[in-house]
Amino acid sequence: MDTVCNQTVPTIGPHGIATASAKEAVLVANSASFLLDRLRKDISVRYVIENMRLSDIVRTLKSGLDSVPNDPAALVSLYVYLVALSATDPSDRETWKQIEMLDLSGLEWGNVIRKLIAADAVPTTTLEFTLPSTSQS
Amino acid sequence: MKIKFALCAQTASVDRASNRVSVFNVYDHFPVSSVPINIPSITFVAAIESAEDEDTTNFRGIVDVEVNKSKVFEIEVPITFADHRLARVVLTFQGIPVLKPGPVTFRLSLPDKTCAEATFQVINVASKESIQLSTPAPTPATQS
Repeated sequence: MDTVCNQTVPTIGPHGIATASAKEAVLVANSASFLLDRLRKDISVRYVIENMRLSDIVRTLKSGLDSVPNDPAALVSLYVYLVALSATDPSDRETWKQIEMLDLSGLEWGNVIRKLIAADAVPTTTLEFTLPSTSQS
Repeated sequence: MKIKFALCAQTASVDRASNRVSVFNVYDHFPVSSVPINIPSITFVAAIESAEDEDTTNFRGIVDVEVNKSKVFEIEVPITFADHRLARVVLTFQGIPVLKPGPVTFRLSLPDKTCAEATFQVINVASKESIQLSTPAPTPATQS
């Protein structure tokens, strides 16, 4: 009987969203816009957007911000959650209010990233119309 | 109120992560080989900016479509600012009937009379006129 449990640590998932590429982005970032741009394209942010509700992302980020870790690598998941908030519907005033209330002072680029995300939140009306077909004789 | 831009394209998409609009294959003309036709898909994209002191939340604009200067479609479109100064509309129209070559115009009108339009020409490449128009005039030979 195999007594050694070879349980692999998930590379991505609720407990492992700090992917290598996200870590790299956070560690090499020299500006907030660079970090935002890199993380928006990262699979970790896409994973969070596709698998968590916005209210859960806000809650998770808020609890993470209560005790900000000193280790830069440990900050990665907080940045991932913050950037994932850019998927918030621009018309969702309630969520935006919660985002504005987050204390991001523990994240070096936190406040600027929040401002950049808010600036891009342009409400967009998207509609489709099909015109009645006419005979093409 | 100001309409920052208005244009027609084949498709447009709003990126979920960045909320930015990408516009693909902008129509500045539309070549066809025969008429009448139904243009399968046209996307009209416009961005609206409110003035700093303007109190805007939600209102309705009117979009109308003209083919050869006759109106073929008109619809009210909700425009939402939701505490922001910018708003966008991305409207996709399928099956716009074009009976003969000529201009196709999409016009967005706002309640304060601000208006913007995007026009492109439908060109029948099979007709003599369009061949003459599209063939560049021969340039005189230069002597060296």
